[in-house]
Amino acid sequence: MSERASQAVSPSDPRRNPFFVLGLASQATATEIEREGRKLIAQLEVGSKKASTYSTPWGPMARTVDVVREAMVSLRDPQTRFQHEVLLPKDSAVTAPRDVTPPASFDAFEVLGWNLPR
Amino acid sequence: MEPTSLITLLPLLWLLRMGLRRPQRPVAAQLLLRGGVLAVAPVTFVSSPVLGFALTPLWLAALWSWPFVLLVTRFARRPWHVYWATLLLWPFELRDSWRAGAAFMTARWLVGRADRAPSDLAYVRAKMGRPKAVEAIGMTAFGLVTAMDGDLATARMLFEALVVETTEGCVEARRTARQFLVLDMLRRGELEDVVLLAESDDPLCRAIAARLSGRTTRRARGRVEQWILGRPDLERIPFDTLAPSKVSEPRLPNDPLDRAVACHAGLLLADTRSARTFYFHRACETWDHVFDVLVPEGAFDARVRELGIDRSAVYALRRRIKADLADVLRAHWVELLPQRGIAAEVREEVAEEIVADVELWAQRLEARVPSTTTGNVYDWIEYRAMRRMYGDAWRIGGPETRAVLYLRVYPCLTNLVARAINDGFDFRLARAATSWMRGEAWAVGHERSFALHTRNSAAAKR
Amino acid sequence: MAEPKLFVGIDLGTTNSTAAVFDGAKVDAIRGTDGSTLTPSVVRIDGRGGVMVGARARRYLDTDPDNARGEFKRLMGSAHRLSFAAAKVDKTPEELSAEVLLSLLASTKEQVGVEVDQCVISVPALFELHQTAATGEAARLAGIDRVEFIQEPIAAAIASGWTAENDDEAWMVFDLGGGTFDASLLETREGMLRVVGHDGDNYLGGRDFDNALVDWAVRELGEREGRRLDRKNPAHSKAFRRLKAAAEEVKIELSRASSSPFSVAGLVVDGDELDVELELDRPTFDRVVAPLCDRVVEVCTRLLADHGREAGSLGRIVLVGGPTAIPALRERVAAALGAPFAVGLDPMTLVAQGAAIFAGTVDLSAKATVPRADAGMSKQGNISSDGPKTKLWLQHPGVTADVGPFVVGRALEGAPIHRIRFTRLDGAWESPDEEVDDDGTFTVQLSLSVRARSTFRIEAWSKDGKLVPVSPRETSLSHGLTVTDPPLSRSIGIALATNDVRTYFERGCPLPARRSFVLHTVESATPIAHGFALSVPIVQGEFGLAHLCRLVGVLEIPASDLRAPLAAGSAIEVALGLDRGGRLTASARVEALGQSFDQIVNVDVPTASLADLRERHAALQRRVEEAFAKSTDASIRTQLSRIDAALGRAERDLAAADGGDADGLERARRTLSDSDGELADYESRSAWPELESAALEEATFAAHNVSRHGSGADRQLLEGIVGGIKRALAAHDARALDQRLRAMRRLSNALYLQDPQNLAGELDYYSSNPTRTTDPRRAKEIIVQGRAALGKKDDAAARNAVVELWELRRPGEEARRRGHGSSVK
Repeated sequence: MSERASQAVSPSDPRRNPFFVLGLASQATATEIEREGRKLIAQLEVGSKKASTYSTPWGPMARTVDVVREAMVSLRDPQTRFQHEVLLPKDSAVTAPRDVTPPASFDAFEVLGWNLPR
Repeated sequence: MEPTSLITLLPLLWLLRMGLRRPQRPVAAQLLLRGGVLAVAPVTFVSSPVLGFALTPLWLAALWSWPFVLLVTRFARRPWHVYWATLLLWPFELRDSWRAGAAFMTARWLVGRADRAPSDLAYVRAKMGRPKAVEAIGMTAFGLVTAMDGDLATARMLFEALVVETTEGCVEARRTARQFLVLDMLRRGELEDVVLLAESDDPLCRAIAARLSGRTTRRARGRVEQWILGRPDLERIPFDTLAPSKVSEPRLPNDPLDRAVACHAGLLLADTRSARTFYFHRACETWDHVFDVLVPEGAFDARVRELGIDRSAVYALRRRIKADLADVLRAHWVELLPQRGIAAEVREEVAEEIVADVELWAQRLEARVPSTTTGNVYDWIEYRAMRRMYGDAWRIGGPETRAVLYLRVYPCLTNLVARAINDGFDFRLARAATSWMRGEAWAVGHERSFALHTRNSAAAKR
Repeated sequence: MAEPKLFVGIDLGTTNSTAAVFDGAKVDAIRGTDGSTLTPSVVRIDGRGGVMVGARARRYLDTDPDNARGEFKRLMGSAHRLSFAAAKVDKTPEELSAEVLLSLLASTKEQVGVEVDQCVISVPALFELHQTAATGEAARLAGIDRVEFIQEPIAAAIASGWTAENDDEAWMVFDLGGGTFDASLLETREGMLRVVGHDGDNYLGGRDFDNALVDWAVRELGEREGRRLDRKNPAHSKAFRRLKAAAEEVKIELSRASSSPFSVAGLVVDGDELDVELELDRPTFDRVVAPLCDRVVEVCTRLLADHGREAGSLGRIVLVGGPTAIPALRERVAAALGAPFAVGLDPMTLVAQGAAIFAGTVDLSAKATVPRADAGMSKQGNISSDGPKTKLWLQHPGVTADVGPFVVGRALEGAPIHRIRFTRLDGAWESPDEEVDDDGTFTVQLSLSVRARSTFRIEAWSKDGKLVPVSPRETSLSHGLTVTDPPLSRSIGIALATNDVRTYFERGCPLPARRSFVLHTVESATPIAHGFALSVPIVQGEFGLAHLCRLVGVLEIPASDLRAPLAAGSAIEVALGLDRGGRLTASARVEALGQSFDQIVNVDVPTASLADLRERHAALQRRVEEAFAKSTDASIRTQLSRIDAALGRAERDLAAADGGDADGLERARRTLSDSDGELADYESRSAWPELESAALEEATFAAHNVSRHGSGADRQLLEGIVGGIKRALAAHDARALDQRLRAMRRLSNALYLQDPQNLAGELDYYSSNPTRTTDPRRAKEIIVQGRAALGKKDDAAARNAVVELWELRRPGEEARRRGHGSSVK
């Protein structure tokens, strides 16, 4: 039972939806996808800082060449493209539902005399 | 009496102490030793005040070592100070192996230090000894070292084994284990279980539990200990930030498909129990509506035709959604309600998987040979892991799953117990496993194995 | 004045190798010193260590076979070393390929004047990972800094597609080379070339046609002259070689003429000199090669069927490779597939041309353009009278199907620029002024002339509006076909301890790709001095069982590297990455220790001994016969007869291997393992009715036990399980059925053991059959204990004894051993 699941990015993570990664709408055509993908890969290889993050309704995420390639591949196959289209959150105002208060803001261990590594 | 003859008595007394180690230490011998020391101490003062003043701490240390140990740990700088001090002073207080006891005290002292080096951890590891069967004190030392390495999950399993499964063992070890468990629960935000540890003789645990439930308490003994060990005042800790937070109901869209997608995304990104439970059930309900009502009405047909794929893509989508839900259920705790449709399917699948895993673990546990360096510590870790999975499977799958699981698991564990009893190593694990199985047999209604386990636990008692 | 970028592509064939160069507009094949575009893949090393490559070396293949070697492409990646007698050296196939590459690169330098540092090399589509890795090694030995791989059918398609006008068609690339046969199904849609699938035979080529002719000649000789020539006899190998050379000539001749003499003078057989004078006409030739043509056509139709296409639906067939000139073959293929051949293309150099064009698509020019702060570069800038220029690093495809591609670049050294503009030299278009970011990067969308090469002038301005000279001043792009990433030919995954496979990359997954999963260890690991703590085997193959897949690499974590003991069940995140050439990288991260490991031990092709292979062959033959006897369905019988035919081929290869043919051994091993997998597949699928009856039988037994010894709860439990079994049978779900059967077995065993009579019976059974356990001595002890317990009426101890006995048949460990000894689940 993983306790660090929230840290890892799972493949089903909605923030990794290829439409977010490539910055396109769900009606994008195949040409647009290829063009954007190649552009982003070229920008990342050249070292552009603008291209190194992409925005999601939950905040910015890091973008690398592997991530872009995977996004292009999943959008080329019509089956996976259909799935990603359906699961793309539409209304951004409501797509940021989170807990109101985050969990304990004090480090229980340290305050009470236990020094354990993070 | 001559001072010199008293000095010669010292080594004899020391030898007597060494000889009277657990487990055969009879009460009479204890009384004799303590009574003897109490009688001799004032006599040394009478014969020679200087010598008496010098020797009395040693006499007292022989009787009650813990104040000295506490002082040593307060002022020591290197691990070997602590180790050798406790080695010399501890044998009668701890009821388990004294080397392991010294290692445990050193580890306990190290945990509080901010400036420990990897060589210190290596020192403790080396000192933990090579026992045939790791007993409570050694297991606690092992757990502390694991925690200091950063692997809190394994440490938690070990301490749970100590606190939950066994009822004997060194008081200090159990106290430390309980403290760790409480602090770990606080760290993970699982506050419901903390109250269970309220009934403990550790003032820290009691105080935390009291604060969390809103009560205050003062105990003098806790104060003294706090002062000696340098613990901070509990009043300064902001316990109110731990209050379980409630999810403010987010505004979900009205359109059923949008709502389903929003709940799905919310579920995958949630990081607290309440949020996950909230989104899980809503996601399942709305997806059921989408796939049972909207899809037959042709909700996706246009898009499917445009993309040039067939209707099976929609069912592939449903399978993917089910897989996501199953991942969440497997990895996190979600409060489950009786439900139909996709939620029920997911529960059944996940329960089956966990059942297969539990069986595999039980078989492996049965086939294990304890390692020469770490004894059977890993047996305990695996046993706890298996118990945890068992609990998960039961919670997810329901009482029928519990019955099936029990029937699969008890033959393997019975063999483990039999081997433990016959080979004579680790009675503790045998006892713990047998008593747990006995409880399960009763709950599941399997009378024959219940009788078997009752007989085995009698055999396992020493 | 920008220097045109040149892109080099190389085809390393089994018999001949070619190179081609593409300058953005047209492709040329490189000609060697003798004026021919083909360089035979033959290497000769003489007594002084002098190396000879190509046509000259080929002449020595017959006369001096101990020192000249050809056709080593098939042995790439195996541990086989080729020995050269006169020079007394052993060379690996990679080293020999490197010699061929060096010769090609030298010719290239002579023809176009460029020293090649980077190029694209074509590999067969079904080349396995270790074979591709060996090709990479050969490139490295030849001094090539960076090499990309492309599958040969794709290269052929690109070369043919480059001159095509039609879009939205399905093609088949038919590549019959000297040693391998590849058939690929490709589709062009919206200007993008997509490989739909490929199939083929790694061990079928022009050489097999030669061998068929040689067999015919041997049979004729046997009939006419009474001479028996045996492939297995090493004394006849020289004779066979000469016959083969003659067969090759005759085969080429028969493509043009209707009959040809098959003559070999002075053939030495068993001490006698023989003159072989046979006449071969077209019909006889067609008859002789008919089985091979059948195999070829079968592969093609299988490929079409696998992808749901009909025979007549192909738009075009592209032929690659010399042996495709055989008229019999062409007729058969045209008749079977009903599609026209692409004409006007040279089948021998097509692949190299495609490789060169592909290099253009991925912008892999012959000389590296990675920017370096070299002293040499700044010297160039100072010579020109324009003064110091701002160096630009541009990234864009050389060829693309997109009319509006992006060009991305970055200003490196020199004066900083603020705005940039691209103007097409034909004057028809210019880009708006684009702003350059603070870190010097810019992105501009261009507009290309359709189906032509467009050159753009680059102008840049500084912040205060002054024109800044840049280098390069111009750049060109061509509008044509784009190639999507090449697909993987066989699935790759990780073998688990339960003998399952966790697939990371499915067959057909586009490369490059990278994926990671979290697995769990199955045993605890302690840091000790020697040995490996964990081993994660990487396997390749379509079968779900690990032991049927081929091991391609192992990620092994040495115990001494562990920082601390690791408990069983710890999470370990294993990431596998594949690049375009199919090269594998693997890494494992253990969170509990905070450590990462990435050492792979690549596994050489396993060398099975001849005796092992013969055993396997016999076992497989038996299984096929059993399956034949049991099945009545026609389609199943055809499948079984296919497996049978494969086994027959394997037998012939084993015979050849006996005579010292290493190639034959390889082939036989591959055929046998493929047949094994297919048989296992068939058995699991066709065994459904048997599974059903077996399940019901077990259910009856369980019901019997429950009724005799079970309580009400047991009965209810059994009903639930039986319901689940029925559902699983209806859904044909083997895994669910297996799970439920195991549950039922447990229940029924637990009840079975309640009866002391049953216990006694079990003890008796194992005492009379001690070999059924893995440890008969221990079993005996247990039996003695059990009987003693029964005598004392101690049922519990007796039960434990029986369970322990059963456990001695441990299938769990068996599964793990078969799964290549995996430590993860």
